[in-house]
Amino acid sequence: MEYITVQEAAKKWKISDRLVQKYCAEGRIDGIRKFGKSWGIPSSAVKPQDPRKEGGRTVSQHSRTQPEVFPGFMPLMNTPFEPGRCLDCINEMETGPRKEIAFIEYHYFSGQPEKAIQEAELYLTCPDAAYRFSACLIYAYANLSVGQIQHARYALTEIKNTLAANAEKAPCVRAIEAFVVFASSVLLHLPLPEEMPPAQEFLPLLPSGLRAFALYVQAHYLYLKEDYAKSVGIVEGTLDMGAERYPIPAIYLHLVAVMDYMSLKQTQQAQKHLLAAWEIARPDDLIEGFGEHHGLLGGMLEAVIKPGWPEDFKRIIAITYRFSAGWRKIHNPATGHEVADDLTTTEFATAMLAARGWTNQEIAAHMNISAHTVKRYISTVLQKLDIRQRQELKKYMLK
Amino acid sequence: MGKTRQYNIEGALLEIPLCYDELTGREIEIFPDFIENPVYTAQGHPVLFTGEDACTYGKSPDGTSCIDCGSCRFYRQTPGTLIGVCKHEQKRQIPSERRACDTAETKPYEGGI
Repeated sequence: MEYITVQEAAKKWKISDRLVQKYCAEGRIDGIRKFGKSWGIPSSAVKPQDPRKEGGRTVSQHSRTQPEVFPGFMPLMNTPFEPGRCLDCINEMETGPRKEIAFIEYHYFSGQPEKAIQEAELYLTCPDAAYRFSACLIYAYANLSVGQIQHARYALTEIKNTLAANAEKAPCVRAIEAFVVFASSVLLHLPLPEEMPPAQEFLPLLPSGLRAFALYVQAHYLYLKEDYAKSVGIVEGTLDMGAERYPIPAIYLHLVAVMDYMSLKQTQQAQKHLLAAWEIARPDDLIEGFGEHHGLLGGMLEAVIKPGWPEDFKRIIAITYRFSAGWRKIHNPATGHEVADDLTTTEFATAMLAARGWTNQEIAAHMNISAHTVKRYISTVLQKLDIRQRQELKKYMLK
Repeated sequence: MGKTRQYNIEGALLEIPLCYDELTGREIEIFPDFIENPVYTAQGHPVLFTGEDACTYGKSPDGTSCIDCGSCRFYRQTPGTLIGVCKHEQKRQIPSERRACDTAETKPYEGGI
């Protein structure tokens, strides 16, 4: 295939270079390829239509072949952008609710839950289901981070009720609803509701970015079932199919791969994925996911992020403390599984590895601390949890 | 010096420092490294932390290998604490082989790691 440069395409289509770059980043031109930092555009490519004539959507070619549903649902998650250009990408969106939802997403994913809550509140009863669902989903998780559990429960209940009440809706609408319920249940480690349709029914109907995130949720679900190899297979496959272009799903996909590889004791692979996630997240400060997943990352943040980026590490740990306290308040009573809530993040990370059968020497080597320090953490954890042996740790750890 | 808790474990006198944990509001025992600084009972059995990595002699009650002292059939944990005694004969140091350990009294651990 012959390719032309961005400048050549701009000249051919009589538009600016910047607009061509934008079309490329949004995946709106068929067959484009990345050569280093530049885009290659097939010489036969057709100029994309004005997005306003397409209903304001900026989603991939694949999703444009789907019926037009919910273009306003989680727009930032569903938009490709270059790492470091997240805010530019939002600012380039047409003024209106879609742009505002994208900002809510940005504030949540960059560890600013108070702002996200304040902005999401305005959309909780919005008649437009896409905006309402987006707001409910973010509102629920952001409220976990600020300890307002009742508000989080309210939003989660709203989501579930909507799914139960809309059995007659179009398949694509149901797909979005299923996505929200799937994400909200799995990520809180709660049982899936009975109304939940099978993943193969709704995954193909989602636009690319949302599908990538749904596959992250699917991989997380398999991880919780301890099917690590299948989970990591989903992650690698999804990334290979281009999910890397969607930074928010890509960060979460890499993080679940870290969880899988740590469970498989393949620390090199785990580190590779952690650094890949970090490379995507850091330029835009999209650090929320790292804090949320801390307990499941098996000390990888302590081993990799802490020495290299100590200030960022501190912020991630602050997110972990905030988020996990709220998460446990929903998770523990709902499941009867008492995940420990009075450990420090380092104690928790050490205990997670010990519960999985790692020796003190292995934990020490992985976390760059002495074996005696590991033993001190473990003895503290055992005393705090009132247990006599490390074999009993499993009961109080995450799966 | 801060608060300590004393144990007499089969003749080995131990003074374990306590550290107040603000999260849980309880006193946490800070154990010394019994591998680097071994402590023996009067009979010559080593005192060990329950979470110590299993040694080559370690066996679980069903005869399989175990991961730590706590899951080993030769280990006897002292009630109310996380330390205990390894009763494996190969780990025992008979009193005549020891130098100054006969009193089995240890200096309090200062909490360094």
